[in-house]
Amino acid sequence: MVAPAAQRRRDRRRRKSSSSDFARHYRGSIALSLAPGTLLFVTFIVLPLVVMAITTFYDWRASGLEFSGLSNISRLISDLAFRMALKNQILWLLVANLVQVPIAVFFALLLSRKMAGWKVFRTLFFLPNIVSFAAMALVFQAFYNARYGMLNQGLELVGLAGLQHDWLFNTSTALWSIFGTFIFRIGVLVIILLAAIAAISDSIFEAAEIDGASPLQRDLRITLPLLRPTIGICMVLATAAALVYFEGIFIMTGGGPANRTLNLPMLAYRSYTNFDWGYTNTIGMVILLVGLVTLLLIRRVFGLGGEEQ
Amino acid sequence: MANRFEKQSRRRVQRLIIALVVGAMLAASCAADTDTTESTVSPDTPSDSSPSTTEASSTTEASQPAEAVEFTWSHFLVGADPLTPWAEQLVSEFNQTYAGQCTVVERQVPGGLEHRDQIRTDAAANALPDIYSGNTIVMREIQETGLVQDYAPFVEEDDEWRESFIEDALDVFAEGDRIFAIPVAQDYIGIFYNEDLFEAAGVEFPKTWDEFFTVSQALLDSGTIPSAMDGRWVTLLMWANMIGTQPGGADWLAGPPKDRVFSGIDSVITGTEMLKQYHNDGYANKDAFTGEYATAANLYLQGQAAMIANGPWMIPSFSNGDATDQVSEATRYTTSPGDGSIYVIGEAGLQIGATDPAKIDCAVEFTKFFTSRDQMVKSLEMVSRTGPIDLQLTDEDIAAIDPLATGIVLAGQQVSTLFPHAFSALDPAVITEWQNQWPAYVQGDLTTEDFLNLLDVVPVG
Repeated sequence: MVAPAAQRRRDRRRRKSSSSDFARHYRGSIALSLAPGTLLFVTFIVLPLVVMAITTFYDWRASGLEFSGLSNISRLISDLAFRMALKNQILWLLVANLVQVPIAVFFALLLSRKMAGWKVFRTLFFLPNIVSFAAMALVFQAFYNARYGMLNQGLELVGLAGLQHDWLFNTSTALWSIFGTFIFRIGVLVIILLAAIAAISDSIFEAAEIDGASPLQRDLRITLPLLRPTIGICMVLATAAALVYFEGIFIMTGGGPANRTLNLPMLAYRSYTNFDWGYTNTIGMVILLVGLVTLLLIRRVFGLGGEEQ
Repeated sequence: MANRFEKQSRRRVQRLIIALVVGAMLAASCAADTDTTESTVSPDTPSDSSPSTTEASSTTEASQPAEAVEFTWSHFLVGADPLTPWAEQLVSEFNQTYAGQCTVVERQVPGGLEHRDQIRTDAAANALPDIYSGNTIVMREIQETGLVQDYAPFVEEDDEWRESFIEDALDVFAEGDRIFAIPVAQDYIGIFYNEDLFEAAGVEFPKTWDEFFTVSQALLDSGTIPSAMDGRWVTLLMWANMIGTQPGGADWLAGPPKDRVFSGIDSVITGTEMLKQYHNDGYANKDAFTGEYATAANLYLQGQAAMIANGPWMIPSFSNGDATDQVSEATRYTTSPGDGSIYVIGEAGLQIGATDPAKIDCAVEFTKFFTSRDQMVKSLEMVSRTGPIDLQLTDEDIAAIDPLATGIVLAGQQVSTLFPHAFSALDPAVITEWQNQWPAYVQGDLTTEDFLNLLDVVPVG
């Protein structure tokens, strides 16, 4: 009779030895199959990131490249447009995570009750996701137009003509008007959340129903807590989308008026078109940092990717 | 077991080697094909450095088309650009005329700004096109990289070509003894107005700025939008008119774009405040800040606005179906109130980025062809635009040209002040900031001093 612990040790050694045999014999094939992916990853992800990081310390223009130390970083600190863009970007991330995702959760909970016509609504929520940001921006540009836009005309129809103004080029309403074009793009989030809700065992809901829990109580006490990691993933997706949102701003306002709708990608684009490439890449590094900090926060709050998983 | 692994590995290595060898052979054969193709347009192909049109025609019959030197012309005269039809015939006629010697291959980048960015990127990569179009700012900026060819020796050796230009035209792109670009446009940029809408309001086109405001009020009262604006191109033309016609304004606009100061300049303050007042009085369209030319153009072309500031390249819009029939018939074109006009030589230019002598020769020939009297008259007839060439138009020529195009030239020659427009006078980064801050300034979020101070601090490359 062999002791179970010794048996386990022997099994582990055998598995390890068999796995290292496999690795040794297929080393060439493994390397070859990994090579294309690695090459692409290095060429299109690692190298640009390295170039971006290095050129942060250079004055890089059409006329050439010149080492400038920390001058791009000190320019960032004193650049009023950058401060406005950073403030807007943070506000954007807050709206994406604290408004857009909760809206998606709300509609996912509503649709999960499978009331009449829920499939139609699911399709309707998803529709904006199959239309490009650029096309949506053109539609909203016409919607907000100060002269013929539907919004101003609608206000006139309901007797609120006094509220009519140039929504996209008034400094008080420009940013919120842009948010309006973004926060209802929730189709993908709703689909992910619906899939997660469907994966929750029916027996839990049945037990709660027997115990007399109302639908609202079931949502708040069962569904939402169990959706926690999925909501975290939705926030990661919303963060990624908010960090790269560019087309809508570019088409609708160009970052104006007075930088009120300027975010970091739009600022980077402006800097790029002014051929201030070192500064552009410094802004790129800030986008990367803001993204990393936000993702780490979400990961911490929602326990993503850690032991809890 | 290990033996089986080894056999499999060996077989895989063998297959890999075979695949690599086959791949290498295919690549080699492709490379050989490429070499053959390249040799037909080899830069070493001898070419006449200054073929005349007659010589070119006779050479066409004698030589093989494959021997022609291919060179690239990068431009933005494509798609909706009003000059597109003329550019198409230019390329076609050049290639016919110089068949067997030079073949122009187009690189078309839609949009002037997009093309400017492309040229800047090319310059940064040390890969400029053989010849390219651009405005004053682009020509000067790329000249600073030291990558462009000098036209001076070619201008020097061709008396006929040099003397075809109007006086001082070649100085626009001269620096010391160098001529780093050739101007290919000469524009009087005025204001188009709809005579029917003016008549309906009981007014005539104004001569002074005070009258301009009075007339605009009358137009507004008659239910018409007085002026179409877009927050960028059209608005900046009007801004230049309002500044350029103030004392000292023309000199300020004519100064170099770098180190330009905006605040504390009387003409700039007066012109800027006048334009703001114009908006606040409701004389511009409500959506005057979109930054899109189409916003203003459509309003005018549909007969909803009575005036629009724009260049003569808009004239074809009145005959090609873009405008309503009423607008086409009622449109007149004149200079700015305040007895001044925007006048620009070198609004567009050609610059050579080629380094190969044969391609440089072809690019020079292309420039000569581009600025030839024949092509400039065709340009005037087809797209109402001409270059800085002494055309000496015949009655027959004039009869073929749209009267709007000749009218603005005659009116422009009679005003007391000429000045460039903002897109010639300002750095692109300043224009971006102007567009960005303008709506906030007009809506009262910024004082004139704040607005102009913000333009002062824009980093200019």
